[in-house]
Amino acid sequence: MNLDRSIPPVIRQEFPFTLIQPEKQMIRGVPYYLISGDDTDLVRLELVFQAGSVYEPSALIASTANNLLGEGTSSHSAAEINARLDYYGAYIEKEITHEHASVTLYCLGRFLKDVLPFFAELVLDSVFPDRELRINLNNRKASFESNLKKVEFVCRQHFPSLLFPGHPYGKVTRLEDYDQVTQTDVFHFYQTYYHAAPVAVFLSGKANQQTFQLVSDAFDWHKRTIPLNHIALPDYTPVHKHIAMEDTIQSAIRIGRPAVTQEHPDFAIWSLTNTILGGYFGSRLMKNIREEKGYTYGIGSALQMHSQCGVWLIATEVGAEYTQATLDEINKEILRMHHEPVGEEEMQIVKNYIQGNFLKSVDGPFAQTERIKIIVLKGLPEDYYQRLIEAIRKASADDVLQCMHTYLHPDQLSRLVVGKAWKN
Amino acid sequence: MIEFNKYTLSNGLRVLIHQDHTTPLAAMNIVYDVGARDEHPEKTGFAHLFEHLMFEGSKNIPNYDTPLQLAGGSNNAFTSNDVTNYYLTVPASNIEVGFWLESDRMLELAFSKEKLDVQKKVVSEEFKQRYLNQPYGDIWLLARPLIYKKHPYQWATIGKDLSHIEKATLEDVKDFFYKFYAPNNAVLVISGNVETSAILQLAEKWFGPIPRRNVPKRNLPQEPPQTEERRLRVERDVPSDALLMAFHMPSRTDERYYAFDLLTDILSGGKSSRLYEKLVKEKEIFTEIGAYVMGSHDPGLIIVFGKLEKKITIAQGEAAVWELLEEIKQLRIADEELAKVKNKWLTQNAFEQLSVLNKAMKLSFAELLGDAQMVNREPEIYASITVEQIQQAAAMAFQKNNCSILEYKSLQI
Repeated sequence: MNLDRSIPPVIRQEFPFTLIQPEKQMIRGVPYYLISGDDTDLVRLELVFQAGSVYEPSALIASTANNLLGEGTSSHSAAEINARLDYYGAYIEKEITHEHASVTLYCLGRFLKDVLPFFAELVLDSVFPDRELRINLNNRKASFESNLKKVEFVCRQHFPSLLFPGHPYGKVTRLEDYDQVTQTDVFHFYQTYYHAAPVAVFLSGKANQQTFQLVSDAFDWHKRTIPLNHIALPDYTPVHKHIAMEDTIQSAIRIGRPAVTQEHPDFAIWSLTNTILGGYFGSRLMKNIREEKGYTYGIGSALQMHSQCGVWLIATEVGAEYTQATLDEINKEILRMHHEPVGEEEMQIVKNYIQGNFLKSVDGPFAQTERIKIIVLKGLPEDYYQRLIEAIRKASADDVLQCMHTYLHPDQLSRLVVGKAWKN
Repeated sequence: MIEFNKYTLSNGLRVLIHQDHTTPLAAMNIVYDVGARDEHPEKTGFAHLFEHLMFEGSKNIPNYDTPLQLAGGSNNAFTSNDVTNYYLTVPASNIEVGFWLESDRMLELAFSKEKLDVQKKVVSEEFKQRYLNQPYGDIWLLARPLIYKKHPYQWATIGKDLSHIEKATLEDVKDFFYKFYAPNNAVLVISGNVETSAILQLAEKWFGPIPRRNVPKRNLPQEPPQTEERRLRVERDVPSDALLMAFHMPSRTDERYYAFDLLTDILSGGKSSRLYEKLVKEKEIFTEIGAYVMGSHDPGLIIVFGKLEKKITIAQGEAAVWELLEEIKQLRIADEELAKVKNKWLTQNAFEQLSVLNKAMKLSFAELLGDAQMVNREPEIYASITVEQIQQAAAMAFQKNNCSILEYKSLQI
């Protein structure tokens, strides 16, 4: 057989996916979602609270409450709780965003009934002992102080303040904030926002109706509704800023602007446009700035979502001597997308890449839960992702041009450089 | 349990196939038996630089990424001191694209000076981003030559320093390829929503015609037993002092490996672990501390690494760690503590089997180490480990003359 290696195999360009329809039950005012999958021995239980940083009275209260859940309850010390959870090989993940705080339990399905009482206790009955609070803040402060030496961290931390001055989305944590947190504030925050019951509970993996019952019995919520904390967003004016860090050999760059959220009709096309410009390894920014010029190990762009609005941004770290050259090339790539319609082949590659990547992002019950969570928390229609993918498939090069013209002119973008001063 | 079938093609390529019909995806993993330890001491960082060049086009395919993206796939690679590993995921119906791409770059690369020059710059920026422009980033650049005096584990995969990468020539790169990139020096694993017989046919079709190559038999200088404590002190512009302690231990394939692995879990697995409970919470000596094994192919290391509380000196921190290590040697570990780390291992093992890509990687590495069936035997092995075995491991490793210490002092304190 003579094999012609220059001819690729037939590529199938259909990427059908299915999202599990979760089973939903309202129990004492709390929505529970069950996403079962028998191909794993693990079970995952996530409680999402309306307890994000926009609700905190002062800096770090929301993250500290989240972080310290279970480090001492009225009947057990932190050490006792941790010993029990560890004994069963259970693992707890805590996460906080502007809007939500979540606490997630992972364990082997067969241990769930043993672990649940401790998990419920840490969620329902945390007391935040002074000593635990002090050690926690001290250690997080040390890690924060180390992060302040990283150009990438400083850039990531300060960039939102350019887009949302005066708004909680633009708040920048300072080192001294770690000295201001009080037990009273943390405990009060916990009582207000965690005792109000979660906005949703997601049970996935090795779980069935029985497990479902076990979980809902473990929590005796008294549902309280908390008003959303929507402070009006400031008017957006693009800003350029440089934060000097002279002893560094690479500079971190972020360029971007506020963006639409998932509900907006332009979200699909903005996602597509983002991917073309900087959203995957074959993107224009990667091809130019890494693969042709070698200025960086990596450059990318992304859409990040909050509840009131999104953020679109480009992020990279480049050799300090390439700062201006990189800014120029980014500008060139943005302008090129304003002036030239994207070719048919590139459109197809990006559309397929997005679909394949989506397929990967819904593989297995835990990955599916992440998507279902977004639909639930954002109040999106059940077929949201089917529609989104369909809209991306149908989009034309003209749509991309339109998106660039409406949202992404260089004059509309803010810019932050963290690192050495550079020559223009 | 990861069920699989194994075949060896006539050119020596080992092919393993694992069917998983619960996913729409398929993963392909190729591990080449070459890593930073196989580099010339004056040309370090090559295995990794080479990994970058593997994405710069092959003999018949000018661009690796584009066709894969068109097929809805994504990919990446990494280099360690032991191996170079390439992987991709793709909707299962397009798995043949993976065969086409991976076989062409195993066959022959499209070398050019321009591409080499760009990737030398990219790798330089990676070196800066990961090792030089980060607080504590150079710790491994300092620790490796302290810990290893003879074995090539004495340099990091990124290389000893930037100049080695900058000096790389096209000739060097070509030599490296023909020396190490060969079907008889690799393991190919496909896992996912595939049929074994069809996959085997694809393997024969695309990889079968690649000629076997003469791969030099590995003959690395082995590290002689350490006979006295080693110590290095450096000062850096970082906010806190840090302490690294390294102890030699057996290799990943040694039957004693598992006891060492559980030993570090007792020291450092979770918030109830000894290092965290005693030194972070109870005594407030460290703000963070951990221990882990480096399960390398040649004899490996136990690493203890922590950052110190500001009012504590490095010497005090070190003394506290030694006290704890002595305790684990001398006082019997409770059965409950052993049960805990075994349960933790079970959870971790279940996590590692969540994705088809992870399963493919696990099979690849186990096969390269001698036998892919080890992934299915390990649950039993871990279950059988006794308190005595763990304490023997501790007694063997935690000796002053088996320890290298890096004192990483803050200029700000």
